[in-house]
Amino acid sequence: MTRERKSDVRRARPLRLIGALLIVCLVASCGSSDEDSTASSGGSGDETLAVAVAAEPAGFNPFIETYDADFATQNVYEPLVRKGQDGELEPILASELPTQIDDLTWEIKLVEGVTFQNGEPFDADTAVHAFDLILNNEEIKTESSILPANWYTFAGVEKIDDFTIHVTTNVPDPIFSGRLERVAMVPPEHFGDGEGADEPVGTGPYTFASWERGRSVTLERWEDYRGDRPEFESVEFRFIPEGSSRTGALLADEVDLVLDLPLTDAGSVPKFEVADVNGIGLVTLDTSKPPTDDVQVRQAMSLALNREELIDILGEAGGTVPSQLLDEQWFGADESRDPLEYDPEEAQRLIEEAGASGETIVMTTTLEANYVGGRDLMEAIAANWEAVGLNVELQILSVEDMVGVWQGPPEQRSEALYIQASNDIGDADKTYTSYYESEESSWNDDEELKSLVAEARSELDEERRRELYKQATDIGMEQMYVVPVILVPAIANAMSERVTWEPPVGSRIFRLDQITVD
Amino acid sequence: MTETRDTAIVLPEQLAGAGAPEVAAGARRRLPYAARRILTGVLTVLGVSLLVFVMFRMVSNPARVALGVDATPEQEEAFNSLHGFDDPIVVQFGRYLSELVRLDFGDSLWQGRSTLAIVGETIPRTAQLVIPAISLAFLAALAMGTAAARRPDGWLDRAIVSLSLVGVSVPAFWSGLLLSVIFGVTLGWLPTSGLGGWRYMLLPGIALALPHLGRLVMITRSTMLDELNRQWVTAAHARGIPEGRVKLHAMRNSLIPIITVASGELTIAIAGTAVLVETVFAWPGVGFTMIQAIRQRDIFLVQTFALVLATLVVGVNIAVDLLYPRIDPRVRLER
Repeated sequence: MTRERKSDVRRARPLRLIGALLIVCLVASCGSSDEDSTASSGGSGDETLAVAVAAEPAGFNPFIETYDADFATQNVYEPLVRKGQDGELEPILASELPTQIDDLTWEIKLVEGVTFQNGEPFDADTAVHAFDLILNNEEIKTESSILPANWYTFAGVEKIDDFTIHVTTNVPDPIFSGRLERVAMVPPEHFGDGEGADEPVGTGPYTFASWERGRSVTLERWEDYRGDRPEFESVEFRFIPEGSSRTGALLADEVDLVLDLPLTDAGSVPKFEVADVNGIGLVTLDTSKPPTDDVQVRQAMSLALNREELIDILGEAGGTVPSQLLDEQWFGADESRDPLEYDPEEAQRLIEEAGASGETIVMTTTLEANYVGGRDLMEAIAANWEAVGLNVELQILSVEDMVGVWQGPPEQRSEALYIQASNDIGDADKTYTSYYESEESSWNDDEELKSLVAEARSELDEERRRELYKQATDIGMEQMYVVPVILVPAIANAMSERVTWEPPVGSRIFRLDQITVD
Repeated sequence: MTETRDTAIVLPEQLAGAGAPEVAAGARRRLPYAARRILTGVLTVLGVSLLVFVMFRMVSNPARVALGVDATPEQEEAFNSLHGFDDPIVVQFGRYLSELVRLDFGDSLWQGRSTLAIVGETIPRTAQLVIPAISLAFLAALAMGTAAARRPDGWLDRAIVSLSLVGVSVPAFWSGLLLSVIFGVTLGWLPTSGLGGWRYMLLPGIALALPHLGRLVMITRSTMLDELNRQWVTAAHARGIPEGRVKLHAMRNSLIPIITVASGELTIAIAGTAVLVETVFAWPGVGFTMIQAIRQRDIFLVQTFALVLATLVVGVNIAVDLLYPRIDPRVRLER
């Protein structure tokens, strides 16, 4: 009897294990039920909006974070001036556009009677605090990606009276006002040196209600906003990094809007819009080594590109054949130029004449930066060049390694490097400095071209500046140091049928006042 | 992240004169064995940490990713100096170890807060998905594998084997997308992504369980077939012992290899399948967050994830080793 009972106990062991597993399953599912999402779903009412965004930003410091955090910072904070829907700068917290009082000094008059969402007043001390952060805050100086691109000309700030400040620049700066678009006005007491950055408080139409890490950020309407009443009572931004999952959420009516939709998915969503602002896909060529040291080869590499076919690769979103390294909307573009031509016979003749047939071109790029067209575009470019007699090898690197090849020592350069470049300010200075003039990032040694770009940067006379850029464009295109490939849409959003997005001209900054719901 | 086992199964015939004194001796041995396993486990975890530490520093440049393409060389220098990346790698590893001893896992470059807090937030979310999925897969596999082994090559066996092969062959991210399209987009029954209650768990849970279920069914079927072909089963049948009771005994004898495979599946699910499934369903667990950390080149966060995942994998292996004698008393844990 005793033996039998023992054996019963042993037999029960596996059953106990199985029972325990069942209990674990039940507990795990029950434990999660209190975390059930109560987020508003798309289509649940006109006063709420659910938006899918690709990346969760590191934080919401408006002086450090850019595109990833725009969905919150651009709706909570306001700048002194920014581009309106028509692409023209308009004053927001400035009472008028900045005026230049000497070569290096700009006067900014501020609006009166504005308070922050926490009750702090907005005045000259607020504006001085914001410029002080840019000029002196160590964290911002070290980590901001906006500062080296946009704010490098700022030299000092001074309070003149309660609603007037002077900002000085280290060189005459013809595009000073455009640089102010990302200078957010933050409440000095709450923001401090960045301590309050992750709980944004601004003067904008929406308040920052909550941030559930890994899941979502919710903004709520600020009822006391001084301007037009914000359209949505509450807006939830959900983090969905996988592109097809964002599309799925839109198709399943879980979200109303998808920011930064992969262009390949454009055909599968109810509505799709591209912003009226372009980036440029370009190939910079190393002029210090054969065969790309020969201008005939460089010209041939441009003539060999069948750009219309390359644009077809981009699908619904499309693209444009460029006429130079600039979009014609950007200041400094030469509007008299024709779109770049496709002439493979001439390209082949030039390659043969230069004795470069069969020469190898290594083209470096990355697939991590979400370049429009991705690998398909790279392979199509390579095929165009191979068709005229060159031998092309693609070198696909991580973002940082690609930047290492681009900006590193000349001996590490490949013959060609593909980049898609944006230009937020919409001025030739950024593009021409990076690809024609800068010691680190331009791959030519044309002193005349470099001095033209440097001179234009500080030229205050608009006509003279245009002329300098025209001359730079003439040299750049004749020597083809950089091959413009295609102009690509800088931002593309998808939405449900009930949502309308009016993209602003010449800006990739997303704000909720661009959205309306039927 | 797997390790070899040094467990020896000691069969009954080797236990001459098994009785109370032997059991006591076994109990005395068990503690040193467990201690030895834990020590080798700690060394494994440290080895993984060192590997991740060195490799990630060799192939990534966090400053360039964090600061963007417009960063100046001065900014890069300041960033590297601020985070200690300009020190020799040996100095960096020494500093990392000394901080580990103080349980300081460092702050995330990406989120600017404690990496341990981030990992601590994500582990329960992954557990909430993985534990029910793998437990149910385990239970379903026992039932399906046993049913398949009952009549080898019968229609039920063929159906179950075919389904298992589908489960094993289809990548989890693809089955995830397919489930999302069918049940989320087309039928609209379940949410396509996000974190929440059981409705949010169903699709990622199924996508996560399928490949593991397939492998577990295969191993259950084959071990049950082996066991049912043994002489004692024929003898038991000859004595008229009911079929169900024989099956129960056979299953108990088969559990060791099944549990060994199941523990492997659990660790693969945590450190592998969950990464894909969480990314597809935007489930902010370990895998989802780790992918973001790698994209952001957040060295400190990736290191903490690697350390914690290695500890989990080693811990599960040790726990299963120590569990064997509880499942099958014939097993003795020896050198």
